[in-house]
Amino acid sequence: MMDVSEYRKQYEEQLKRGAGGQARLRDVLDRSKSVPERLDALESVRGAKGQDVVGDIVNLVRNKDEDLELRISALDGVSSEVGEHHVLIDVTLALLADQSEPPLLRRAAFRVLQQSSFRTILFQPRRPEYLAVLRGVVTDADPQLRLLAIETLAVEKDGEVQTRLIEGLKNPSVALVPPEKAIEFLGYDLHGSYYPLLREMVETSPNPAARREAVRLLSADATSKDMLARLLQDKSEDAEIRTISATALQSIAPAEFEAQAKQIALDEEEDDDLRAVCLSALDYFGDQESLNRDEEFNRGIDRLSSRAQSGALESASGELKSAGGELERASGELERAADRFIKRRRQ
Amino acid sequence: MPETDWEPVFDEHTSEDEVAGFVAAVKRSPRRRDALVRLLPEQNPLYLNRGANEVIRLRGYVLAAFEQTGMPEAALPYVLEELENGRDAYLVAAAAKALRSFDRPTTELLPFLFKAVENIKYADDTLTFESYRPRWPAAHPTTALKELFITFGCLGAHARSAVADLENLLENRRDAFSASVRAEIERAVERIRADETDIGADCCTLPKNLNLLAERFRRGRPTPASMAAVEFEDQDGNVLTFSDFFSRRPSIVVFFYSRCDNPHKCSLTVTKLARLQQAIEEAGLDGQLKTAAITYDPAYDLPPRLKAYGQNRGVRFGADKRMLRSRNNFKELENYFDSGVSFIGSIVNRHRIELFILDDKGGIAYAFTRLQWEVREVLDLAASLLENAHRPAQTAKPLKVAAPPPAYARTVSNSILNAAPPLLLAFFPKCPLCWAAYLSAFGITGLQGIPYSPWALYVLIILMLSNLVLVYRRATRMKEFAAFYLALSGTLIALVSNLYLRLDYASYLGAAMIFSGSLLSSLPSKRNFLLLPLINRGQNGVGE
Repeated sequence: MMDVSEYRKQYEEQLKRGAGGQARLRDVLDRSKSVPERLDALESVRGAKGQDVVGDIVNLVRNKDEDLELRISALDGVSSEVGEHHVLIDVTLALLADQSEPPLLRRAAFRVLQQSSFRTILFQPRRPEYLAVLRGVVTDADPQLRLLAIETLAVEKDGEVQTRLIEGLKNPSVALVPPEKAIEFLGYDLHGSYYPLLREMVETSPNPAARREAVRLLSADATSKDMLARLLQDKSEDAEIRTISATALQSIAPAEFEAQAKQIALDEEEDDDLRAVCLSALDYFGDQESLNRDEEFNRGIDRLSSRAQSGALESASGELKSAGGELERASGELERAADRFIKRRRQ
Repeated sequence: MPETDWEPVFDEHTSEDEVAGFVAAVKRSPRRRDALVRLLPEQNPLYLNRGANEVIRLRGYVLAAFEQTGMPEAALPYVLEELENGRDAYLVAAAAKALRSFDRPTTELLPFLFKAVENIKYADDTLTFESYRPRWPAAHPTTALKELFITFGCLGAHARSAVADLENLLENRRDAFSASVRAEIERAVERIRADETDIGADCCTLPKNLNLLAERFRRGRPTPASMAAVEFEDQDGNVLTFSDFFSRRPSIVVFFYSRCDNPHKCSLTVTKLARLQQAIEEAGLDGQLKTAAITYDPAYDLPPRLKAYGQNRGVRFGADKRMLRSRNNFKELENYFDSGVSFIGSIVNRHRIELFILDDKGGIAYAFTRLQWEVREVLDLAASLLENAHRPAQTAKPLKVAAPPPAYARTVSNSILNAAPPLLLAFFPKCPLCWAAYLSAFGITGLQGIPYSPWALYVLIILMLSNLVLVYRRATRMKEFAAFYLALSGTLIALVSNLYLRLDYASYLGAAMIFSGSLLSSLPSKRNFLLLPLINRGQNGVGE
């Protein structure tokens, strides 16, 4: 909590800044001064409000002859005033749309608009214009700006952007973003038409990141159940893909997941991370009655749990060495999961 | 595409451009506009296996075309549905455009337009109908709000009563609208004021019960045998068949799915179902009406999801109150209800609001579709169905949408009819001497034309026994046997006292007991005996 004396000090400084605001604003606008001096002055007028101040700052931001860093700082400085001055929205939208402006300034404009979109209710009437400008940025030369625009529109479930993302997945030569990003963005709308394409990508894509994202998204599609079950069963498949498949299968077909997860959890030849995931999922989301009835499974978990207890003892006596690295860490996680499983049942 | 009257059949394989080409052709030949209406039901194979956005584009483009072709009345439910519940700016704007060319403008459209303004003001977007696949930036962009306010203006004199509200938007909610939308509101007000047409008081009202599109449809058609075997799983994992649940008592069924992203549809429907359950209880009809919410998405809406979705919206659960997912044959269910839903794979890409009232055999009695249903209206209709089911089958009359007549009046009259045979039996002259006594009592003039008919005695006995059978059937259905025992005792007393003992006063006692038994049996439930006046009053007072 802030000390009272500290608060008073800050408040006095704020008052001083306000009193000297006009003088400092002149410094900001004075092009004979160096950029660092003007940036310093800009910092001083950051808290200042009023039509005149905002008007002067807006003029500075719009002036293409001004220093880029100064323009960006000036825009950031007035971002909190967007709700008070409609002109700021106009200026910021124009900056974002203007491809002749430097990408750094346009990204700053995007940040201001993005913040305003959820910070002030006054932004809502301008939403249609904002979305229209973003559509123009989807094919922008600046990849970062493009990515930002595409993601924002994807969150809005924009049909045009979805079409372009799907086209990019089908034909990488027209892709606007990397495939894993495209899939991630498509996932904002589960009512899309991309599930067959995703299934095909899981089968054929050489890109592991894209495959992982595709499997993640298929968790919404019940018709992908068989594919997810197969991926989970396939010991030759990438462990992360199998783990994601396990989560996805648990979501859409819990009974099938449970049957497979029990086998995997007790299979000594399986990946320990995957075994731990399966065991935790059974513990928290499984059908507890059927799990309690499965004596063979419970005996297997008892064995794992006792290993966890002995492991803890070994660890305590300092005998457990970390020479095994990741494998040992994973094994520890599996055994702890088994231990938790047993304890929760005894409660 | 040649411009003939030929109407293409579209399906999931038809390209969007082909559909757009057809719409453009109809715009050039407006007399074919009904073909566009036929593209609007969700069941149209055109929408199968398309993404939700593709469906929005297609439907929006079709709706907007009515602005050029004129909007037929058959399209009105689709247009009002978007205005009342739509959350997509393109579809709402398209509906607003379509409404402008409705040839029966009326002030009754205004609430739908205002509702659309509220729905879309935080979800508006820049859009255009210049072409099916516009290039951005569009030459003539618009927004849903602009299109809505243009439509207000187009309604002219019919929107006169909206002027004060429109001006209120300009004055008190200025910041809620952009400058260009405010300009559109001002233009609408000017246009409405400039129209001095006398529209009269009764001009052009909307069709009544717009959402009751299929009043008692399929009446007389039996529930297909295949439906009986459709299996459900409820929110607790219990398995039951269609005939297990949808029998013995009327049911109210809504459709929903938990992944629906339109808060005005599934979420609101299930919330209103909870209110309906409460209204049923308050009307004393609990135990006589069943409620069910069936998911469109049975693969995803597993029992825990069903339960959580219902609980979060206040749904009560019980043997007669369940949330259900189809286990084996959703297609059969879809066909039976003629569900307004379309899918991409297993995921819903479009659906309408749907509520059905089923009779005690699972037959569809009423359907509320597309527009929001009112709790009170649904309860009234379900209650009337209940009353109809209580009548003997041979006297049942077709139901009407209008409020049912007071239940107690019918109940008493039915009971009097039921008690008539034993009374007649009591007074029936059982021999020629008795007949002579009656003649002497009433005078020859009154009864001389009536021949002595011993066979009529047996007719009266048959009528009494028939009444007893009906009371028994009703008793087994309601699981309340007091009325039956009373009627049985009365019948026995009446028969024995008349035929063997010849004790008239005992006959009157028997008749009184039959009358009382019949009266008790005819009531919806003996628990409700004292509540009947309240129930009938409640039908007019229970609302949301």
